[in-house]
Amino acid sequence: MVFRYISRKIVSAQNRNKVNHDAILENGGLAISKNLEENLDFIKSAIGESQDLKIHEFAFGEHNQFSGALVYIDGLVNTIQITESILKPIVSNRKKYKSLEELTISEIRRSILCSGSVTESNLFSQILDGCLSGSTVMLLDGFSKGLIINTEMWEKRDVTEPQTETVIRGPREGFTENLRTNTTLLRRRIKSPKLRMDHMTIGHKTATNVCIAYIEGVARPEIIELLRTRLDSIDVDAVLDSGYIEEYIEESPFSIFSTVGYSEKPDVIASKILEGRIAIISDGSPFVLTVPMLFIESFQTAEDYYVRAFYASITRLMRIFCFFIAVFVVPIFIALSTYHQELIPTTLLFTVATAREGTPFPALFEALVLVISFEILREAGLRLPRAVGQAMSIVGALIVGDAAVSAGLVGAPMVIVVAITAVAGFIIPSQTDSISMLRIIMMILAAFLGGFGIAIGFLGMLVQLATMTSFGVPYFGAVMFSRDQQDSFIRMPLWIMEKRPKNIVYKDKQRKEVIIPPVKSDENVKQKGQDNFDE
Amino acid sequence: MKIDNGKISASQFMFAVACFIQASTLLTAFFISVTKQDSWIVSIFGFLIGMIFLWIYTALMKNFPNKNLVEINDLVFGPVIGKIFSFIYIYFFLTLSALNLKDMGDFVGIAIMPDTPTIVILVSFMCICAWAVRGGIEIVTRYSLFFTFTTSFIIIVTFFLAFNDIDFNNFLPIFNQPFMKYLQGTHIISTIPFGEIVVFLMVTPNIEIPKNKIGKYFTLGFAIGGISLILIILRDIAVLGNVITLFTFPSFETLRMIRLSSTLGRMEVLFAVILITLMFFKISFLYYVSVLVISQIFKLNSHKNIVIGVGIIIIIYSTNLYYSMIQHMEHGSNITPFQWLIYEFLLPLITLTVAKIRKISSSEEGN
Repeated sequence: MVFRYISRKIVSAQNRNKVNHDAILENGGLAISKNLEENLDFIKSAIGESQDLKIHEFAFGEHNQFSGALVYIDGLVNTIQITESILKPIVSNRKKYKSLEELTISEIRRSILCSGSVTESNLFSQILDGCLSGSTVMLLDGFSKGLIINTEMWEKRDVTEPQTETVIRGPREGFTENLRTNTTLLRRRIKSPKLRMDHMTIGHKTATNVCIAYIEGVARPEIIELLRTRLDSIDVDAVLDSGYIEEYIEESPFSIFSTVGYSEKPDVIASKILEGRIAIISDGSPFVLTVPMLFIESFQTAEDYYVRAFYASITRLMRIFCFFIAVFVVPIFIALSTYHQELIPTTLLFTVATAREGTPFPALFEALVLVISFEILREAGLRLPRAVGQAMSIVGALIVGDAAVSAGLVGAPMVIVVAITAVAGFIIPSQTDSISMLRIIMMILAAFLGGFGIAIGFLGMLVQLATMTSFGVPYFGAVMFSRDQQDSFIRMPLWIMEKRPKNIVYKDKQRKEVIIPPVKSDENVKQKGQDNFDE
Repeated sequence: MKIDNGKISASQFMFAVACFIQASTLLTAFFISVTKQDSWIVSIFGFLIGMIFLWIYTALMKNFPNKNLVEINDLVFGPVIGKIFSFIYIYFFLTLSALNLKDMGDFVGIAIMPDTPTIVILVSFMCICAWAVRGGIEIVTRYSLFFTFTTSFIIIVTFFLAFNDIDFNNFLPIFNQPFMKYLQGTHIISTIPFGEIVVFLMVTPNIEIPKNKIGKYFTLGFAIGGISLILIILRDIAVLGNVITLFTFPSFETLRMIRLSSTLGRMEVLFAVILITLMFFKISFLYYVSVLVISQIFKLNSHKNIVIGVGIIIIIYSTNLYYSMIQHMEHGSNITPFQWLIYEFLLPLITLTVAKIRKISSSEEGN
């Protein structure tokens, strides 16, 4: 109830803001006048006397009788291109134009300018938008139209290997902060004409370009439609990272599990698109989102598909096992040492009992201290500069690991258990946050209800996972039994997986027509090899 | 008007039935205390009689593929008498949920958490069940397949692990008891775990199966559940022998006996875990059905609003059912089976007969 009340308040507050914003847009929607001075004054007043706003006035024609101006934001544009393909052709144009009647805007656009992408506009709002997104605006005295010429060029990061999803085998390219570079990386991987890239802008102030990429006929139209309506209804003033979008399009905002996938690697996103998912690329973020996301995707990595099937399957099973270790080992240890001592093997029981003997606190407290101090160390290690981070981890390991035990604050078995848990939690990067929250919930349940508490927690987790959907697709769907099993707990050899995932794909279900095993040792080939050997 | 629009597939339905019966492993003590080492014979007879019940339910399901029990009652007996019958079923489903919850609470209280007050266990368990029930039939039955597979796997593995402790002399003497004991035992097992599948009549409209296949899936699920129950009883008798009547939870004791070279002991933990999981399925299903019946009779738009209320009723009901374990056992062996026979056999049979005589069926309406 409280949540509903608060969210209603927030929505109404947002609506108020929207009205104000519309009013501003209305002012920007003014038409351009014929007077150049007036227009420039308006632009100056709209953008403010910013230092990076450049207005380049020039004169042209046989007797320099025409005057015009180029408006652009310094740093967003390619100045060489402006000189070479806009100023030079216009100023050095040898055609004799007597009067304004002969010279029209479309004439200039078609026969004088040497630029690829030019649009005409008579609205200030469009001209300002163009100017702020890196285009150059040409205004001419006596015309009530302006030309928006695409000249954008700014500093951007090169395509480098991403830091988050490193692979031993497989492509090393990563997305960058630039939307165009990212779409190029995808296009280069999927050359199908069916690959669609739909653009939209989100954010009143940032006007961030967002691109939805999918393959028509493979992605489900209703999911695309759902995504579009959700993106359209985002009412926010800034989108600085794809994470902003993620929070607005999620279906279960209060769940600890994320229902939107992300990746920094073009090959991963391309494979998701090929399975029928939809990618959301946001300008300014190297992380590309994919929907719908299934729980099992957290356990799939890019490398699973680049190494051989057996090994891939084993590592994937290990990852699933690690999820359980990460969530349940500390709670089980708490439950055993608090309630079910009879379940511990006798020799181990002595060790555990000795350790527990010397420590003053209950097991839950001990575990919480260790888990929380681990989270603190992790956070500190992330935020600090790398050099200091190492010192940090040494201090942390020594103090928490060794000194705390010898000082008698925590027992050694508990340190071991928490350490294993912590390491196991890192194996599944996209669930690390949900794992650490689940772990604390389970620890508290185990401390109060013992083994029964863990069972309750486990069932609660199952129910939560079952109730969740991602864009209408059951979140836990592929784990349950269907032909998607080919790529869930284990990964079948690629030549067996002939169908795309059932829950996600639309019409084009077949990856390929029939299952053909890779070429068996052909008689001819064998013969040839034999011949070569003989020679 | 449908309250829950969730759909479950044929296999989900089948495994839900199997899982529902497998969850009754706790209740074997009721008839084992009557027929002792001959309980396995009794359970086979019970299984066969359960097939008769199953035939009645399948016939009802085939006759009214889009209707659940409440709607069938209204259709066959008219709105007034039908409502009375449906009210009787409210009592039945609520009692069944409360009984199962009580069994679960007793088991956890005795085997896992002896010092914890039962009410804490019941409330925390029902919270999770309520969460699942709010999600509707799809969430309640989602894991039935997973649970059935795990249970069957554990049953088979423990069967092999228990080979060391199995003594076939434990089955002797066979047929050495008065005939009435066998009759009573068969009566108990056919009503207490097997006949309880009458609750599946409440979810008929949610099952996506062609009309002629429904009997096949129902029977298969029933067979999986029944056979695993018979296997469990065979194993328990083979390991424990005549002493079996002394225990409240024979399977728990059987697994406690298993020890493999002192490394792989403590198998009863497995049993406890799987049992809590299965009881979660069974109780949330019964809970769901109770909620559904009540909201259907009172013509509510959604079942979600009364979930917590019904949950509280079930908890209070289960804490006040019996004064002691002994009374519970006594009741379970001697009184409950006769009561249950009304809801599981008599009422469905009357409904089916009246429907056949009056030639009422919903399949022609095509809705």
